[in-house]
Amino acid sequence: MSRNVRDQFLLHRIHTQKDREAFDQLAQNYQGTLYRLLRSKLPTDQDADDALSTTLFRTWDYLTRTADIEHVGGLFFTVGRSVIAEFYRTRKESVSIESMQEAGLDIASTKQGKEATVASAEIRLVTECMDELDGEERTLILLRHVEGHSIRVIAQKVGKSEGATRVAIHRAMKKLRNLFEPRV
Amino acid sequence: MNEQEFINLLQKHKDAPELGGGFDASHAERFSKRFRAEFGLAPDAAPRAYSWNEYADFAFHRLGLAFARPMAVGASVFAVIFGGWVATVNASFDSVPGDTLYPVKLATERMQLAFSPSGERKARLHAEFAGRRLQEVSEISVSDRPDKTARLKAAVANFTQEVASANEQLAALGEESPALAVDLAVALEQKANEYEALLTQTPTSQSDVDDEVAGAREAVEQVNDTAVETLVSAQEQGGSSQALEKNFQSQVMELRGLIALSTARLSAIKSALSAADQLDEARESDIAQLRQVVTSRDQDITSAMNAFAVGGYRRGFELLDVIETDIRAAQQGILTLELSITAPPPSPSP
Repeated sequence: MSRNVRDQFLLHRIHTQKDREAFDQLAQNYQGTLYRLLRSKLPTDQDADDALSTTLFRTWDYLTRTADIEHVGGLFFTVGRSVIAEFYRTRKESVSIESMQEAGLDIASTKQGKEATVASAEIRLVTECMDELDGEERTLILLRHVEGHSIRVIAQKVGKSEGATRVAIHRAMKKLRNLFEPRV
Repeated sequence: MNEQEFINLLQKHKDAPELGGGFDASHAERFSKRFRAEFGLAPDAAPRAYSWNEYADFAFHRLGLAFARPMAVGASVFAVIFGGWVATVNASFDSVPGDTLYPVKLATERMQLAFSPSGERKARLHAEFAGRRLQEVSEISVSDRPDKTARLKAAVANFTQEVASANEQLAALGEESPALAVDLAVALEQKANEYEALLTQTPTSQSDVDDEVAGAREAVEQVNDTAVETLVSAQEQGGSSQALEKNFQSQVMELRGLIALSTARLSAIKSALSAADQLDEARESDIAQLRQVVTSRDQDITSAMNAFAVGGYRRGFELLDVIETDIRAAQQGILTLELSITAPPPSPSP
């Protein structure tokens, strides 16, 4: 059974039977990629875990009320992006030292040496540039060039045609490089 | 840095938390257990396996959607188009010549005619449409619509056209299939009588359309003639004389009614003139003459009936036609007398 048909079967179970097992199986397929999107925008692993949990609950709630979801991957990412936006709207100003460390601010870094410093700088540079991309561009770059998924799989996940996905990835990549190169 | 180098850079740091790394197998398992517990599922339970029945239920659901959706869309499109057309056609039923929707009404009728399988059906439709045209004449004549005369002329002309078309169909059917034509002739003959009565009663009060109304009457009479001719021909070819007899009796009764009416009108004129002391010799002579013309037709009717009774159907109908023409002419004379006594007296000369 292809992934898309399997997703549709699980969606049917969720909508008609409120089948939590079916949703759990559906979530298993997407949670890795979803976590990457959330973690790349949120300061700590704990924040990403909480956001992932919130995203899943909200998607469950939506799926039980709505039939005819063609691309559940796109729905997960859309809900995930809204959770990220909500996080930054409502988060407290005070940030713990632990969270700053997890965010890569190296206040008492355990990483030592030139190599670690270079890696940290590269990551910070990439992250700065990634932050200037919009939500979908960021998702596409992460799926294609960080997670290494094929165009076909990404197209299924984001709910677009393969052609449109290829073009969107190319544009996002070009934009990211244009942001990155002046800073090197 | 070229694109590949940049991609390599992203790949190199893919496990960095800033790029969303760190969701390894152990992390994923931890998260799944936590989520399942929060979600109300047993944290360590194996994923549920679905039965063939559950997959079959899904398959039927998809199959239903595959057929139901296009059908629903088709039905909706049909409802919108056809429903809109029906609404427009319904709205057009009340239209009269000169109205915006009137062409829709005519187009609908033309469509009905185009889809009619036989000449008989076409003739019946023409007769039905002629009735609608008369209804339009009646509506226009009592309304305050602009261009009333033009609309009346158009409606009467359309009526004449429909009657003429019905007549043509009847004549054609009479040659092709006399048996079928008999029923149609009876029906059209009845319709023609109704139309004749309606034409007489229609309050056009527009002398501008007199010519058109006269043309319409003529068309109706032609239908009557064709109907009689069809019935007579059918009877002569060995068909039933029942319809023919019925038609003949109907015409006789109509003529006797006309004679009675004319006699009553003449008596009323004479009484009115006597009461007003205006019954001079000339007028008395006119009244007597007209009464003679009318009452003597009663004898002619008897002759026509005798001819019909011995099988001279054609002769019988011809005699009735002559009688009707004479009585109608006498009615014109009666009308002139009536007008002369109702006209205002000439004003005295200064």
